[in-house]
Amino acid sequence: MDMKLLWGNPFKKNIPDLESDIDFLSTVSLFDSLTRRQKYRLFSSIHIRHYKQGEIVFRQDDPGVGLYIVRSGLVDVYNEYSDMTRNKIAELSKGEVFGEIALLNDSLRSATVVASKETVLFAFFRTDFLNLMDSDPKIGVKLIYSLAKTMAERLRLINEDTTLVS
Amino acid sequence: MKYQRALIFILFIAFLSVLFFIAVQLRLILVPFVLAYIFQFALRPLVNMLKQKGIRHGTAVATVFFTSFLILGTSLYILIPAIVAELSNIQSNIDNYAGVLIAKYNMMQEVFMGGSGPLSEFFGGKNIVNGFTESFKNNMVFYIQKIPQKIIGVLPMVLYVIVIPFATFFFLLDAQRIKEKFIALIPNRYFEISLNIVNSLHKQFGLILKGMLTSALIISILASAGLWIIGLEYPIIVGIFSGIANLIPYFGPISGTITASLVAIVTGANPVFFLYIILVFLGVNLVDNVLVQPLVLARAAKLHPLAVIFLVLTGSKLGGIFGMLLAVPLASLLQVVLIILFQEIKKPIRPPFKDFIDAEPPGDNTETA
Repeated sequence: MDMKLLWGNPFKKNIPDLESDIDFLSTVSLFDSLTRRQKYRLFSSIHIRHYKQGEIVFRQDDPGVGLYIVRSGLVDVYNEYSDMTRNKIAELSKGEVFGEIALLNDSLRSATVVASKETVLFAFFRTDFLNLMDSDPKIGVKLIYSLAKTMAERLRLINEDTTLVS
Repeated sequence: MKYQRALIFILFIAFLSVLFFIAVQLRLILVPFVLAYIFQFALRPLVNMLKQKGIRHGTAVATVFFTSFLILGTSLYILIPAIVAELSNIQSNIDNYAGVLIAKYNMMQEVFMGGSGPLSEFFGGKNIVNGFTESFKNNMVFYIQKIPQKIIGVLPMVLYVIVIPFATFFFLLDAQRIKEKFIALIPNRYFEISLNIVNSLHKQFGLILKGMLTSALIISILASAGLWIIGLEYPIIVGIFSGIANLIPYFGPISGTITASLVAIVTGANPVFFLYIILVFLGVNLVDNVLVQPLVLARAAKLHPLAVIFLVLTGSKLGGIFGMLLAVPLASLLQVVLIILFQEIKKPIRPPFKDFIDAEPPGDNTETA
């Protein structure tokens, strides 16, 4: 029997896991401007969630509360329509981020996300983000800047698409 | 689907009730942990302030913890002798105060009823006065003598002295991790709503606590200072009592004035003193209503005044003074949870995602459109 189960601190994070999780965060473009120490701080606000194949992460029109990062596995992103049809619009794999708009406002989710196989997601929620900004504004500024860059890039792509269509 | 949601809601309320029942049964063990949690809440902004300066979490927690316990210890070292002096003064003068009460009562009876009026007959003559004052005197002496033994008897003091600082330190150090571990136990389906509830409760609790502590501290200091300036005896005890009582909506502010007036009566103060006492408490309440409440309590509790009175009375019936103090904060926490759950129930029912069928894949018509 593992004696750690009896005597270990159940609230302490496993160090090898922690190091590999921090290494993983370094590969996510949203966090690439953070120092390693700042990534440790960020990670203390992240929730690790395990999803089975076919399990729904969130539904379209649910209130958005935060962003998710695919740690391992695969998720499918769908649009739902009123005629009971759905359209798969994207497939996201390790390192990809979704739901980041919910970090900035409380708008409704624009799509449904479903785990297409056993998946581990990192969840980072608006309240934790606001608390982190409060306790460490330097991290807050860097994250806001990264989010703004992501949004600007998306806006540019939308503009390009609109120009092509018209 | 609608019934399923309602069932979950009912089960949740039942779960909360069971939790409340267990908490009441285990209250003596839970009290030091609740106090530690409250202390860490009060100290957390200071930890965050240090972390903003780039200090590591552990170092910030240790610095805030040891500094605040040093300040608290010093304050108690200065305050406790003054409070003990006031208490022993009350104890040694209790016979005089009882005598003053008898004399005042006799005087009132002489003035209003000539010594044998209907009121006197109704209460069975002067024996009732002697009985009342005797019982008052005995009770006061009994309670004042028993305070230290009572505290030691009811609360395992040594355990508290060790557990409270220990738990405060670890709550400060690991609160986020503890919250995270508990949230990890929640099924994915209820994860977002549970986190929403936990975060809202956390925010509301912080607001209430900040409001209550600030209000009690300011009122205690102002009332003590005001009563000391006008020359009332026992200003610190009466001031602290007023500060704590002031946390009970509507009933609190009056009880401070009444207590101060009783002290004025038994210490044989000049009648004009009552005017000073009223002026002091009017001033204190003015500061409380104009400055303290709007600043610290405005966002804390949004309950109808009738609901507040009902809650305070229910609290007094269930848990005496502590019940009166805690009724409104607990109700406002419950209100936060119920609002979120009602919003969840009211959400339009949608068909399950698995019932949706895949749409025809759209052709690549970007170039031709």
